[in-house]
Amino acid sequence: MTYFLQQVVDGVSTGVIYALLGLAMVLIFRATGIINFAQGELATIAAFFAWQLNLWGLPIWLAIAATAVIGFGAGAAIERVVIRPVANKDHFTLIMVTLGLFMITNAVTGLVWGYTIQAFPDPFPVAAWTVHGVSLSLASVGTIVIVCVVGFLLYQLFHRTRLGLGMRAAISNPESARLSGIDVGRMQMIGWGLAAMVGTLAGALAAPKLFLEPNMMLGVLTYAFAAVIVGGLDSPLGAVVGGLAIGVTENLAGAYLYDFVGNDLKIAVPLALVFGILLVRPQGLFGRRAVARA
Amino acid sequence: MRISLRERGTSVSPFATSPLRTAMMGVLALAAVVLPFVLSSFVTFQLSMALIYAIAALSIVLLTGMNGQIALGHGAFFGLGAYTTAILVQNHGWHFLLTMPVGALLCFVLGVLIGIPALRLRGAYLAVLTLSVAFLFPLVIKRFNDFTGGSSGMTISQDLLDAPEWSGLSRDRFHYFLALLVLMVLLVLTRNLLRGRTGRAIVGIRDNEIAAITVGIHLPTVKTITFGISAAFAGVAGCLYTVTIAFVSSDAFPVQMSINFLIGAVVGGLYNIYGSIIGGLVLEFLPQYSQSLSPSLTAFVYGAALIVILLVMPGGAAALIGKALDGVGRLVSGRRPGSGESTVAVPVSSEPISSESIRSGDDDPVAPAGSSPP
Amino acid sequence: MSLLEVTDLMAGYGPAKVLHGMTFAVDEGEIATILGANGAGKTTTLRAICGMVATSGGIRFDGRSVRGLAPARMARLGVAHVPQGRGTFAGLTVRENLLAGAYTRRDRAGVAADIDRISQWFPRLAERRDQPAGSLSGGEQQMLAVSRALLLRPRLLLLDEPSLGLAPLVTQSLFGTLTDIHNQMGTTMLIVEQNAGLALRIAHRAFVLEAGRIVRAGDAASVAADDSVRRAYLGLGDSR
Repeated sequence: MTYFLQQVVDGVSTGVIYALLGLAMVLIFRATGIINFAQGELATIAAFFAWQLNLWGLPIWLAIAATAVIGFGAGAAIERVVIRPVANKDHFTLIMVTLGLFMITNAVTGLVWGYTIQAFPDPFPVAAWTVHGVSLSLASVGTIVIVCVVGFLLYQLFHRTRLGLGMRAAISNPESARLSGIDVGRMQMIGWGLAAMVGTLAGALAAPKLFLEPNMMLGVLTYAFAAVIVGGLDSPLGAVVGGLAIGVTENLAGAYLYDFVGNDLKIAVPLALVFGILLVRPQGLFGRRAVARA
Repeated sequence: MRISLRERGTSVSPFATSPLRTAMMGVLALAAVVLPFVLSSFVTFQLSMALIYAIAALSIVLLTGMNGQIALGHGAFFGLGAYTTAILVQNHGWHFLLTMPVGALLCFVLGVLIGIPALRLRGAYLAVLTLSVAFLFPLVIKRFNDFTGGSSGMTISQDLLDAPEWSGLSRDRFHYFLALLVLMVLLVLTRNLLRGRTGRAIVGIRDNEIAAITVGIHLPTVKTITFGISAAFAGVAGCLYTVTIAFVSSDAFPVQMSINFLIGAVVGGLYNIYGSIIGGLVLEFLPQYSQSLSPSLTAFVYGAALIVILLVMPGGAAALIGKALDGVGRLVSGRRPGSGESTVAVPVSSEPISSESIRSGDDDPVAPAGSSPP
Repeated sequence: MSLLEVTDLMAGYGPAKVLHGMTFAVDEGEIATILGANGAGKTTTLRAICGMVATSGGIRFDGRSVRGLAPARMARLGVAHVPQGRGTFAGLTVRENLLAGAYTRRDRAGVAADIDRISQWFPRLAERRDQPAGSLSGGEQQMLAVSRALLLRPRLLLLDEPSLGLAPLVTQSLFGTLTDIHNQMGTTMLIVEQNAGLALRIAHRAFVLEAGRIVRAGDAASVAADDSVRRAYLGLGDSR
């Protein structure tokens, strides 16, 4: 039982990273209806930026906060410069553009910081508690708390503020939003900016666990995709639950199905589950199916 | 009227309609045959790789360009073909030529299997599904490393890949001509598939699924079979890859490879089957030059090219060349545009008509597979 | 002075021009209607006023030139528009739809009072305030779209085919409520409507649009009495 709980806890602490990147994707999907393939790479470049600031002497938390603020601007700028010109194009073009962004971001990261693996300072001090034989590190607990706070704030933003209402109206029906005096373009920029901010956190929290290098987030990106698909692309809560579910399933598969799946293939188990869910409930477990009548 | 439309529809080869295009085709064919005898064996090897990547790009043109299904996972089929050849040749003593049909068949089956869940998904969801396949492939290879060699790889003995004696060719030249022959055969197959009824079904689904259903096209069959055929093409390319390179490892088929295939197809021209040749050349030769300047440059150029091409010239290089040829042709013959030969070569080089209708399915990932329209 | 003055308006989509020089005016406090066959350019007229299509000519609202302003700017000036068909936010609840309609307003108390007033006009919406708009019936969605537009406290309300797709009884009650709203709030309205009989019954002024031009204008009663209008839009013969 203790072993099982330990696996669940470990799974949760990796799952929150997927959840955080998933949250960033949900933000962009809600703002512009796009699935952003570049989300992981943007988080990576942000992590490198925070690492660089830290190297220049900024305390790590300050470096992360500064990067998040700069990230907001960068995200908004990407929306304005890269996404806006293609906003009315078909789905395929949009996906290809974010893929292009993925490659460019990855290349720029490599160009500036190279491909040598760097150690990212752990923002949490090393400490751990043991509860009923289950060990909880401060880093895990801290990460979980951060994700919960971010999720809660985003929920409040969308459901309790005027800005959030405007953002939701803008994605639900851009034409009527404009006719109600909502500046749809601005809502989209803010959505991308917020996503870049959340992505910065994801990158900075993932970097100490993984190794800081330009392809760091490729795996996380895949799991975050899985998380938002499980949770529903438009549901922040779904992204969190989905991310946790993926992390826990992955860890349990590694623990109990080791003989069969091995260490390399344990991620295939949650991905297989995702495909199953996708077939039964394409809108995800928490996503709301748009019920539009003619 | 109807017959004339169909006539134009069947004159699918953009190179076959004017003397200029025929001449260009002739020069290219001649060059393709002569080059391996004048170039070094290393350059011949590079050309073989370009042809192999062209086949992979062709598989994307068929699936994504013609049928509208986004394919971000074809590196997995490519890899499956590559391992089929590697294992059968090295461990089971098969002749490498005989492994190609096996690789194609395996990939066809896997393609249909993935094509079935893909039926219910569209747009970004399909992209994510196929991307996951690409992501999982190297992990599967590592998991079964007893069988595959995992990340340390598997070398195929060179003598098992020698040219047959009857050919009288060196190994590199034989591999080159083999790849050339396969590419030509697949181009002709694709052309024949796309003309006529099946082609109209494949392209019709891309342009408007609901309209395609209403004219009696059986969506699930056409989409899964197209997926299977496309996967088989990628698999055959993978077989040729092993034959040419004589080495496979899990690291040789990263996610990036799948994305690169798609980029090759877009750069060459997503809506023209001959664009895949240009795509293959770009995929082989561009990294050779950019990599020497900076390891990041290839990805940067690919990413930038992808965005620029989609915004400025969605038809890719093939559309550009087509326009240039038409321009020269008009200059030579003094004909006005639109008279006589048309550039609207349906369906092999047709671009999609209604992007809005695809986009309207934004928050609805479910394809209307036989169900009622909204 | 007229609240809305349109002079020599031309508009269209890309190279295809739909409006070829329209001139008309709507006075403050009146209900005006534009009649016309399918494709005459009725919807385009409304879209042109709100800056949703490229235009040339003159559009003056409250004495100031507003041609070329973005839709969001027009909304802030007090022009509300109920677009044809889908004028609601499907994923938002009824209440959130109304609040989104009041997006530009800062007077919370006024918004709350307006929501109360609208609940009296459309009790069905009050019952369903926490349901997503997408789950409402067609008639309820249209009521919601109108309410959403009213929450802007508009000086001019543009309505594009409000009866489209609604059952006759629902249409009747909707038009009845529109009259109530006009009586109580004095909102100026410009209604584009296929159902000419219904529109003429509540309108003070009417314009007949044919092929992108106004061919007949006048007070609603005289337009309704016009033989050619009766034949073309009301489906009535000369004798009756």
